[in-house]
Amino acid sequence: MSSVSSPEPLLRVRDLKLELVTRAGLRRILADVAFDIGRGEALGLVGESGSGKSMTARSLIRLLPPGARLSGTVDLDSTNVLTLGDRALQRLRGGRVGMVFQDPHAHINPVHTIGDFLTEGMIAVQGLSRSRANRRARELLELVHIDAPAARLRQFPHELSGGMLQRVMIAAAIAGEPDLLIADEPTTALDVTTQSDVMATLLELRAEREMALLFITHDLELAAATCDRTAVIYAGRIVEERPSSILHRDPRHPYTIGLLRARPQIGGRRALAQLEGRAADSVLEIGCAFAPRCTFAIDLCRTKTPIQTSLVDGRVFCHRSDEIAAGGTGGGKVFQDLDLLNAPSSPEERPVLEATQLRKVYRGRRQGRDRVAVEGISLTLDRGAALGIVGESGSGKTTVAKMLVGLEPPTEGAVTFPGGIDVAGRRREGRKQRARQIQLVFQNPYTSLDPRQTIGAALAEALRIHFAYSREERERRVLDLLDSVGLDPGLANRPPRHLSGGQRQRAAIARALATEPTTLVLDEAVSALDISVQAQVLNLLNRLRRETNTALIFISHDLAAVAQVTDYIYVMHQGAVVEHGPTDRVLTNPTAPETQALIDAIPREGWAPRHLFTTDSALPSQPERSSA
Amino acid sequence: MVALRVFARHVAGLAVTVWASTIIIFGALAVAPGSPIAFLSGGRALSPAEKAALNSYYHLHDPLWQRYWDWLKALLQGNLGTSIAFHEPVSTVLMPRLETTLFLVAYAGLLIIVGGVALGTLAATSRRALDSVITALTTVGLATPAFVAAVGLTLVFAVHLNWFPVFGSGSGFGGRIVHLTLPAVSLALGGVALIARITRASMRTELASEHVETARSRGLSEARVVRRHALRNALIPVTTASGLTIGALLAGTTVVETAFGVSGGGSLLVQSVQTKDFPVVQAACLLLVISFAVINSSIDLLYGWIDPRVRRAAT
Amino acid sequence: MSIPASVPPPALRRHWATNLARRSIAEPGLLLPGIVVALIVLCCALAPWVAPYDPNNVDLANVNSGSSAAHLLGTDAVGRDLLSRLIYGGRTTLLVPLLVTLGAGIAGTAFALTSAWFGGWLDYLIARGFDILFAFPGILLAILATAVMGPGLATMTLALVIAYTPYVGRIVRSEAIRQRNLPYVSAASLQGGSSAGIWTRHLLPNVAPIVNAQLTLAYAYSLLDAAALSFLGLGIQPPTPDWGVMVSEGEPGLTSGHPQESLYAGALIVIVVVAVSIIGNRLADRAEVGL
Repeated sequence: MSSVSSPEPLLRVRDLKLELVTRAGLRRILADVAFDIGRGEALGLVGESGSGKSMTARSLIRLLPPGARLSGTVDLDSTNVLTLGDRALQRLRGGRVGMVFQDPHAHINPVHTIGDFLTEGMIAVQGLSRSRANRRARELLELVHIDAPAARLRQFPHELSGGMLQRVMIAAAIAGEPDLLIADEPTTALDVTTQSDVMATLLELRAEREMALLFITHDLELAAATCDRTAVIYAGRIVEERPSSILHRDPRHPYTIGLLRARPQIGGRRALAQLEGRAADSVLEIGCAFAPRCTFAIDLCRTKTPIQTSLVDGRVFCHRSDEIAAGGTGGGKVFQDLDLLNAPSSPEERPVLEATQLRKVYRGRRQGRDRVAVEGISLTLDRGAALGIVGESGSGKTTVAKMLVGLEPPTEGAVTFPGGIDVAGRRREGRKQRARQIQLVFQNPYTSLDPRQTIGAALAEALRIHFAYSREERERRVLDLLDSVGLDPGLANRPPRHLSGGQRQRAAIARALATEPTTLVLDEAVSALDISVQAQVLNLLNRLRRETNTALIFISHDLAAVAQVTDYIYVMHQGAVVEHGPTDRVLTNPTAPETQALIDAIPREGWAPRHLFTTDSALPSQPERSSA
Repeated sequence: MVALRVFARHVAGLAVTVWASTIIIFGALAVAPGSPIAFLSGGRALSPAEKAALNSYYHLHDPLWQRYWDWLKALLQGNLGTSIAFHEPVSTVLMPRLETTLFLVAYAGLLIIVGGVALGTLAATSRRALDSVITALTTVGLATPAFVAAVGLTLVFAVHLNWFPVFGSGSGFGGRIVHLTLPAVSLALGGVALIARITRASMRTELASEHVETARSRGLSEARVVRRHALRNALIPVTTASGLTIGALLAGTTVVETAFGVSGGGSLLVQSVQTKDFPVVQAACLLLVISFAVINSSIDLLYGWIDPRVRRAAT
Repeated sequence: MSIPASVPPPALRRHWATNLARRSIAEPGLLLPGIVVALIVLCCALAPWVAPYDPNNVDLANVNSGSSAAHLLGTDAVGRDLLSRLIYGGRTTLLVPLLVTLGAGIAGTAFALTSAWFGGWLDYLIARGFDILFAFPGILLAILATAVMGPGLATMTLALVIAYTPYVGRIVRSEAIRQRNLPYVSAASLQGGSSAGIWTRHLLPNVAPIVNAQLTLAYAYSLLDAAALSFLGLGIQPPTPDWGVMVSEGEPGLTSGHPQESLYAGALIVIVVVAVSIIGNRLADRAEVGL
């Protein structure tokens, strides 16, 4: 393989093929996966959900569900992992290969202490004595920068924050002095500043121990910034593998190009690449799996699986990669650069919503246990304006959303709408009036739609409440709404479970638009979506704002996504607004250290993870409860 | 400190349950049709002395709440009244029999926990065929009432194989074990099936969980993963279910003791209903409910020990 | 998971019977127990036409006979035809749990929905009430009731209704509260829908599958309890035939070589309960998946 620099790599994977026998039949997960990792080298493996990236990671140590059929070769030095016996495989897992998983709270047994978790492998697999194992556990915790390690050993997982627990998992993974560390989305469940922190720890350890790293992530920027080489995987096949900096600058596969352009950047708003459709989630036997979403696709792409094109610095699997490299791809247009922002909407100076000194205190069960969720936020929203609220978990941003739309009464302060509309209390008339003013799009599109109601019925219900349409008018309006969010009219009589995540979120937006509100509040509305789908929704929001002059309040932990759709942002930290101002100003010239930390934590070219100012404390922040 | 507070809350909950059941049990008498004295005598001709004794225990001339209060006070002093059928204090009649009942329940409870967890674990960790067989068995087990099980077990093990006696409660520990084995098995059958199902289901969930994946990724042997991670965590729901199931056995003893002619608290309760010996009915009901509540509360306390999240969250 | 766009959208509001038929065919696991239950119910309902003899017809010349052409399943200790007694006996055995399920279903659901709707202290009161009643085993309640009101179908049914109300109510309440806290309910409320509309259009349809599954299982369990009470002599009174009574009446035969009566009656109880609980578990699985 041309990409292999060292003659004798640590890990050599060839022809990896994985199939799962499930009740629904045979699912092809991986095909022809091949890569090398040299000693001490870091390889990033990037893909969206269903791409097979996590299964690739698990295949390397045969950590697969029952019914998995795995073939090919996985050579770690001269050992073929796929032919190892049970005992040898266990020794390998506890020794030469360590693994770190995504969600530490789910991945660490809640009933054992941190000490038990760390020492169990040392005692059972490496044969250390209990006292030696305890001593080693303390050393490991120090190594991953956990304070008061002796005390931590006696704590239970739920008593530690996510970032701290993830470092515990890293400590456990390096306990056997592995040559290879596999990290499967190790920071996806964490806040961005915590992500930077954990990544910094991970990279330090790798450098100190000359450990090789296979880093699995959905975030191409993060992989490119932290790994030597990056491979992109789509529908169970690797589509491109290059040195990270080159991949970033000069991508050759249309999917890589799409991924890079679909991710919003904080360096200024731009049209996001619109990868239409949804990611394929199983191997396509014949043809290129990406072809249905690819603007470069030609007939050949649908009839013949692309073979490897070797480049000086890597490899790519695309029939047209040469033309793409030469820039001659028929018209030269890479994806539909919908010139979204050429005609930016111009907010009118006409307020549609005003919030004054909103404060929310959740009363504790006992005295002195009150929790201030929101310290006080005031804002005015003009017609057609877009305002962002950004903050990490526990910052109070979701509580603000709930107070704005009326799901939570503020402890102090008030939300007012123009024209003296009375929205006080929970009375029906007030709620109806408010519904015409403001609507909310929830984070999780899987629970925000009634599972027993078709999409069309959900839209029609909202229309029936507010408008005296005839049946035909209503049906036409339902189709209009679906069309406005780019959904196929055929989806009207489907229940939500037949829709993909992105389709559901668009359906939820359509439902919110049904009451023709002046303001749309989006609470982490794109956080659960894959990057290519996220781009669809972000583009949709910009278009809707321009076409309907609906004002947006976009709430997210993702500064780049907020920057993509808003003109003005509020930065929240632990319930308080630490900074607010025009988006461009806040991003280029932040005044609050919390804002600076958020900006610094965003992976981009030339970025390296650092230990940042962080909110990561010993105890996890209390989950925001919705009072029933 | 924390443990103490949790303990106090459990005791308080227990007290409320017991208190509520005294109302139900006492109230039952109040809603009985006919005159209380005729009801309490169960249609027997009573001597004036017996009538006076009934009157003085139940204070039949006092208002209802006063009677309830007096009854409760007598209860707290350990005075359960006098049996009309046995002409003896209720406690003298009930206590030795209750001992047999508790022995039976403990025996059956042991069978349920050991048998249920073992069967459930086996089903969860074995191949499809064995798993299906165990699932089918538990379905039938759950559907077989204790008195039908009693019929089958008597036929096979007492009549045909002659391994166990057909009737009686036996004396001494060994004699009890011999006499109470078939009753305990009939009593336990449904519970074993239920606990096996719950164990299987929660073991399956745990075996597919993320933390078990982590344990495997660290090179731990499958036996260790099953024992220390899957089974250990699966015990959390199993414990709750065991508490309820074992508590329910107390009521089940009425059926099993009757079916096997065991002289215990349960069969005494049934006889007393038939002979209209109401003081005994009241006392037996009350003691069974209290035992049930105590078992459940102890299990709840155990829960805190098994699940650290509950232990610490209780602060 | 994904449905290709070429598949025509399924019609969503079909007639319930069509739905039932479609589901039964799609799931052989439901079909067999369904047929068993239907056959037994039909036999018992049509007892006067199906049963070969009067169930109380004593024939002392022909006691404890085995199977014969005249008496397919033989006779009992006083010469009554066992098949006829089983067929007639099914009527009370199957009817009581039906009444219990209906009664407890209505009361439990009503209390649970009131509790979930109003919340606050009323919810607290109802929830604690459920807890306390739940701590009182159903059989014990029925025994106490029998002690006071005398044995019989009415006493037994009433006591079991009370005992099963919290069994149904607790689950319905927690499911209603769970559903009410899901974002789709908030979304409906934010659109200005009326409370009544949200309950009838969203909450009830989503809670219904769990209620159905729970009621089916309640039927199976209350059948066991009712049969146990009759076995104890505290439920249906002889000479009225009833499966629980028959197990008890046949007991002396176990040691004297005539176990038929107890065995047949016991087996029928097990068969019906197995069939009903398979259906109930299947419904519960489905309710969990959200279909």
